[in-house]
Amino acid sequence: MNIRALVVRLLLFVTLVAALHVTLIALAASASPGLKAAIRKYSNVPVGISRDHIALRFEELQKARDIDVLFIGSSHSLRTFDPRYFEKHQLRAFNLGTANQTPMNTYYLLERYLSQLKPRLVVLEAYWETLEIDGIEGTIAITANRGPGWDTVKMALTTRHPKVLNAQWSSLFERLFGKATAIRLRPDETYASGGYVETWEPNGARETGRRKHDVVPDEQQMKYLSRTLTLLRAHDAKVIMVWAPVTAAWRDLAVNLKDVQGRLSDLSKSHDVAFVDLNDAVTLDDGLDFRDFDHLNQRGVDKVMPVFMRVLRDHQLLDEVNQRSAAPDR
Amino acid sequence: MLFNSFTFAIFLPLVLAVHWGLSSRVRLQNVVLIVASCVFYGWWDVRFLFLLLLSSALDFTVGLLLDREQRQQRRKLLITVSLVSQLGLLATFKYFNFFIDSFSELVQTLGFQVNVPTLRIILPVGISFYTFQTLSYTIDVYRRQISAVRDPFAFFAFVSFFPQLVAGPIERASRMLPQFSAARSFVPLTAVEGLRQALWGMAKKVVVADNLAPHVNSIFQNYQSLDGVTLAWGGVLFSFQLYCDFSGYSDIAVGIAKLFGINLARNFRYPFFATNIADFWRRWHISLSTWFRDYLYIPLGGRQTSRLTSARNVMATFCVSGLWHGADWKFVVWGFLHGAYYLAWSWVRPNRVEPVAQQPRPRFVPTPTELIGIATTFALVTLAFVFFRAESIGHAYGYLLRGVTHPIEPIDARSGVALAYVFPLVAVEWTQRHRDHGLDINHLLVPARWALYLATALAIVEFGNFGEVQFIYFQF
Repeated sequence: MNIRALVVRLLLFVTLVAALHVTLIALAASASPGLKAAIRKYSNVPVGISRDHIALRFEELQKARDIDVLFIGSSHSLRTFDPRYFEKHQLRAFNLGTANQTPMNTYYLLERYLSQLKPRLVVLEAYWETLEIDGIEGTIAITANRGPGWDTVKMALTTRHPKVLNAQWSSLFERLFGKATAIRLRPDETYASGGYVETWEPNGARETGRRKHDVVPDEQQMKYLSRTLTLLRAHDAKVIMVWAPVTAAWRDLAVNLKDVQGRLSDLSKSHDVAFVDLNDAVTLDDGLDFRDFDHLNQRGVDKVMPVFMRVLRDHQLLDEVNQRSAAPDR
Repeated sequence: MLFNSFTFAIFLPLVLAVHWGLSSRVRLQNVVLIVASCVFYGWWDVRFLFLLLLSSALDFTVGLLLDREQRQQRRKLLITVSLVSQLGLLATFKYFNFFIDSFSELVQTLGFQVNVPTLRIILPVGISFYTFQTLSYTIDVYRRQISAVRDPFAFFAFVSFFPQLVAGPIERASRMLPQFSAARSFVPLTAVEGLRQALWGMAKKVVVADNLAPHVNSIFQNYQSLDGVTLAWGGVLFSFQLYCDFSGYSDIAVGIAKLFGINLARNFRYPFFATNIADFWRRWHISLSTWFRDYLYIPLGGRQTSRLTSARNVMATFCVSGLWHGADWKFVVWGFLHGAYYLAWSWVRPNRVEPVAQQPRPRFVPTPTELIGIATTFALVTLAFVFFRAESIGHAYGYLLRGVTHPIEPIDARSGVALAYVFPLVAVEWTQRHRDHGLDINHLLVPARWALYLATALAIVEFGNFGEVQFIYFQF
């Protein structure tokens, strides 16, 4: 055997492994739900992932064009910003929040949907815990609910995690074979048009069960946050970066929150964008206004949204959106 | 840079292409290896490159001077310089805070109040490995067992060779320097053998070790609410985790080295099939145990002395070996236990020649005596590994005490899933135990070989844990 023969055999081996791997994913995608659950638990192939309001959001997103206000970020975005409040002001709003969406996920979603949605104002929710994670769960959630696309492939290549790469194939095969899971919402949840999820379930007086910790932002996510702000400004969108409310108990767990807040303030200033922590703007009840430790219920949202509208007005953002919305090129 | 990382998957083919692109110009090939090793090592912390270069430069110079010097007193001075500076660096970076803390605790135990400041020192990755490797060189030159190398590139390539730089095998200059000094040419069959061994090592690391890690972590963290059976299972799983993690690394290192035409020493020989503790130490971390044998145990007198002195030598060697693993008393206890096992065994069977490791082809079905020996040795080794894995001696003691006081309780938390990783490993290794590694299958027909390679690769892809989990032995 010479070097050439070795390289050829090596390439053949790698190709065979790749082909067998994809075949196994296809087989897994066509398996029964019970078997899929076992495959998902013990292997790197995420098949049979449950679909929820995120799927409904992306279905509605297909038809959405030229909106006035876009909310984007993690589950904090989709459970805090109720687009119906904007309808009262004749503004079209859409909430593109998805579970565990990190700045990396946000960047690639915006790259794909900005030219379609052409938002006048973007409310960028940047929850501190999403700055710490790698975007694996966020990418899988988008892929399983909407299906794979170039944006999720880019996300997968950024995470470099086999599960996320496999999710592209498994989601594709599940759709091809008509084996995608049915969309199911939790009994206490209602999907409202515009991407928002309404729930009235109260959190109650529970213990968080978590220890105090430092928030350590991942530098790659911070870079993506900065790239996102640059991208939005390049599309001539007005931007406000926010922290959505969480319970006081939850907030107290993050020991160095002031430092992280300082970093985000510096970042927003460098991009000439406002950064608002809504926790400071409104007083809420940990037990009654939240559905869990870090997500509002409708009672809380109804307290937060009027305050948020005022914040937008204070920053002259609502007026600007109104003016642009009425502009003739619209 | 980790072997099980995406970065390394790009790095290795690039280095191989440049290395073999230089044909057989050995000096240039060594330069490529040195640069690649610096990139590989500097990926963690570029500051520690300086330490590696300093350590290498010092022993290269001492080696040359030792070779030239005829006066015994001067030679002694030179070897002392090498020993003191190399061990001094190791002591500073690895043991400074340990010694300070231990001294402080001792003084407080005697009833005095003391407030000794400690330093915030980061442990340079692999310092214990490369320090021992360069030390073996100067000691061998001092003993006139080898001549000093005059080519600095060959020496630096030997010390910094990236496949084995951070977790061994700890190589000897007598074996390695000739390989870095002579022309190397690409031998495809050797490369294939290297790829096979690396594939097997990767499977052990990412499929077995990294998937066992969460089970082990959970059992050791929550031991206070678990029963003896589960705790024993936790110990067994940790034994397999550690073995697969470290021997997996060694297999990958040996395999990658073969791709560069370099033969590294064998570091593991199916240690869990050892029939007694002496046999275990001929199979586990062979490069370290032979290092301690040649440079500590034998110089102390070995067993060519009285029974008591011989026992002292055994215990000292094992305790120092324990301390080598980490700056913590729990490692000393681990070494002490092995020393005690070894002494007990050597007193029971003083002149026993161990046949199993050397047997060309052992029987597939073991004899009852073999089986009892294997089970007993594994149990003793696992018991000692509890100290290795625990956070502290107190943690290990609590773990073992809990196992004794709560032997069996109805607990829902037991999971047999980990068996799915352990059982295939044991089956493959038992079948292959007279061969070099699990994928040493040259005797099989081509289709069977390819089927096994594909099955191993697919096991890695489908079941591997790719969280870029560090290798346990990096911390040593």
